[in-house]
Parts: sequence; C-alpha cells; structure tokens
Amino acid sequence: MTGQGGDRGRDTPEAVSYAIGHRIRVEILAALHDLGSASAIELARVVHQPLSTVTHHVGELLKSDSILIDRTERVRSVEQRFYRVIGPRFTSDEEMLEKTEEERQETYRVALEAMLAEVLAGFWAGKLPADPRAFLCWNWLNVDARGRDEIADEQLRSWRRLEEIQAAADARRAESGEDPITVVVTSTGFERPRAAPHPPFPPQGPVTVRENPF
Amino acid sequence: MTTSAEEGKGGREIQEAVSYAVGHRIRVEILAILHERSASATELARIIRQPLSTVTHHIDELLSSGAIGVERTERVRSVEQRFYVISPIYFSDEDMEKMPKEELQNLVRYLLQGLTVEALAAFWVDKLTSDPRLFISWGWFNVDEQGRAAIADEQARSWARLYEIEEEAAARCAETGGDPFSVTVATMSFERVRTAPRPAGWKDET
Repeated sequence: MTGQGGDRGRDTPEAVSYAIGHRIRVEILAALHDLGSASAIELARVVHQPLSTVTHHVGELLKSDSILIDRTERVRSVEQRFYRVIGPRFTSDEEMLEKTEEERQETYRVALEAMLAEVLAGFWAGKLPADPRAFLCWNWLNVDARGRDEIADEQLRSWRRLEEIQAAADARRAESGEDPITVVVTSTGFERPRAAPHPPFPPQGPVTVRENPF
Repeated sequence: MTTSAEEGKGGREIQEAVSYAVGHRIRVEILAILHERSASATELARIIRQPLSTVTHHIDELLSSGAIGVERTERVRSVEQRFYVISPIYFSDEDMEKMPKEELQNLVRYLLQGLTVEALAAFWVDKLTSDPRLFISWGWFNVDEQGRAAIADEQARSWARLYEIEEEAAARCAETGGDPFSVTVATMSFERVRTAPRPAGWKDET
C-alpha cells in the first residue's frame, strides 16, 4: 500500500531518513500514532509549536508519503484537513509474499519509520533514561542459515508472549482499577549489508539501561 | 569501561544530534562502517564510493555533534591521517549506577543512533526486502506494574536466548567450516510519551 501514490518527492529509503531527521516531524508522527487522525491545529497544540511550522512539516511529510489526508472537514467555514499515518497494521508472512517488491519495501518503510519515530519521540521526552526498566539492546549476531531461522522464530515467540502479558494485565486491571502504563516495545532482526566478525558490543554483555537511579 | 561522554560534545543538543546523524544517507553509511572498525576518511570514501571532500564534510559534522571521535592519528606517506571511531559505550552495571544523568542520556543516544543507522543502512541496500525472515515489530502495550516487570523480564530472557542461538551456530560453523553471516537484532521497551489506547485490530507488524 502506497498512500496517495503518484507525485512522490523522495525515493523510499531517503524518505525514512528525512521523516525522522527532524524533531518536529518525529513528534508529529508520534502524535498521529495515538490521535489516529488530527488537523494541523490539533498537532500544533500537541507538539507545542507554531501552526506555520507544523503546517510546513506536515506538507513535507505528505510529499514523502509518510502521512496522508484522512478527510476534509468544514470547521467554522474553513476547510480543515485531517491527517493520519499509513500504519500501524499487521501484515502476515503470507500477505507479504503476495506483495510486489515495491509494495514490500513500502510496508517495511512504514514500519521502520513509525518505529523510529516512537523511539526518538520517547528519547526526546526524556522517557528513555527516566524509565527504570527501559530495555535498550542491539547488536549483531554471526550465525548460519539455521541460526537465522531460530532468531526469527525466537522473536516471534517473544512477541506473542507480550500479547499474553497484555491479556493478563487487562484481567488484573479490570479487578484492581489500576491506571495503565503505556509501554512502547520494538523488536527487529534483519541481515546486515556486510558480514562483520566483531560486533560492536561484547557477547553476553547485553547493553541494557536497567535499574538506573533516575 | 565507561563512555567518553566528554569527547566531542559539540554545539548540537544531544537529542537533536541523533536525528541529525541519521538524517543523511552518507552519514548513515559512515556510521555503519565505524560500527565494524575505526577508519580514516580515505578508507571511508573508498568503501561508500563518494568523493573524499564530501565524506570529509560529513565526518566534520559528525565530529562536531559528538557522534564520532578521533581514535588515533597516523602518519601515512608523510601525511597525518586521523582514524575515526564511534565513542566506545561499554560499561558495567556498577558504572551505570554511578553514571551522571547527562552521561546516561549520552549512552542512550549512542544506542539509538546505532540501531537506527544499522536499520537504515540495511534498508538502503535492499537487505530488508531480500531477507525472508526479516522481523520488524513495534507497538505499545497498556499494562499494570506487574505487567511492566513481566515485559522487561521477557525481553531479558529472549535476549539471552539470541546469544545462545549464536553460540550454537558458531559451534556448527566450526564443524562444517561454514561462513557465518551477520544479523542485526534489537529489542527495546520504554514508557511512552503519552498513554494511549491500543489501536483496534492492532496485533503486530512483521
């Protein structure tokens, strides 16, 4: 799925870099993740920026197909556009196989862009160093074909486990009335362009930010 | 080992610096190479196939924003050459506990910059579309305190399992003489800027 299609200002990979290359664009994307759809006026209020600045960045994000126009509404005799992000949505492996190369790239772009926007927005709001249980790990692993499969299987298993944790928390909260904490979780695994013998982090040394004093 | 937060902390605010560093393809490619090893501008220009002057310009920008540092200077054919490095970020749990807030912020910045660079560099060479087992999932979960702890525990368990998989693969490669390849993996979780209900029908993205 390629948004509005047509008049694309940037090619797909450049678009990700561009979209997350500016703080206000990142904040607009993150705001649209939770608002669903919003007008430039609403976005300006949420990201605490002048309307003209927000309108400029919204225009740029539209041009690179990072967001689209959800609908147009007449508000006090002024036509207002409401924007939304293209994702997030679930795409199964089977659906993925039916897609063309270009559609696949577009799907990955949307997922990557949305994920990085969430992470950067969290970072800017100071949420990452402040959460005592923040978990931030990346590294590369050198494996054979079987190991590659096992990594993907493990990531899928772990992701499904998170859904179970969500369900159990829902049941407890229904009884206790405890306010929810919204936790962003990301999980990625992809082949590296160049095989490299020495990963940036020592093995067994998960680089985590946990139990920190702030 | 501790971070070298003091090195090259330039004009740009730490948080802006991540976005800046990953905002241009050439900077992303420079950083992806420096994840593997230190390199001079001449080497970097050769690997990414860009003019030396362009690469030097981006290196200067990355230096001034503190994204990279100078590891050493070497005299190569009577010319002083600088070798660049991504500031080391190994540290122990004890270091973490004593880490001042600013340094911790810097540490998070390097982690995010690193992951983003790896993902974009792979995306650009079409590694994402050609890898049949590609996994990109993100989402948010609304949980109670117990659920928050369960998420962190699950992630730690899964992360340890990934290293087991690598060890087993290394043992197989040692026996068969097979060439391993590199798979970048990342796992993150943190509290969201705003609490928000989960979108309807939202399960995951693969």
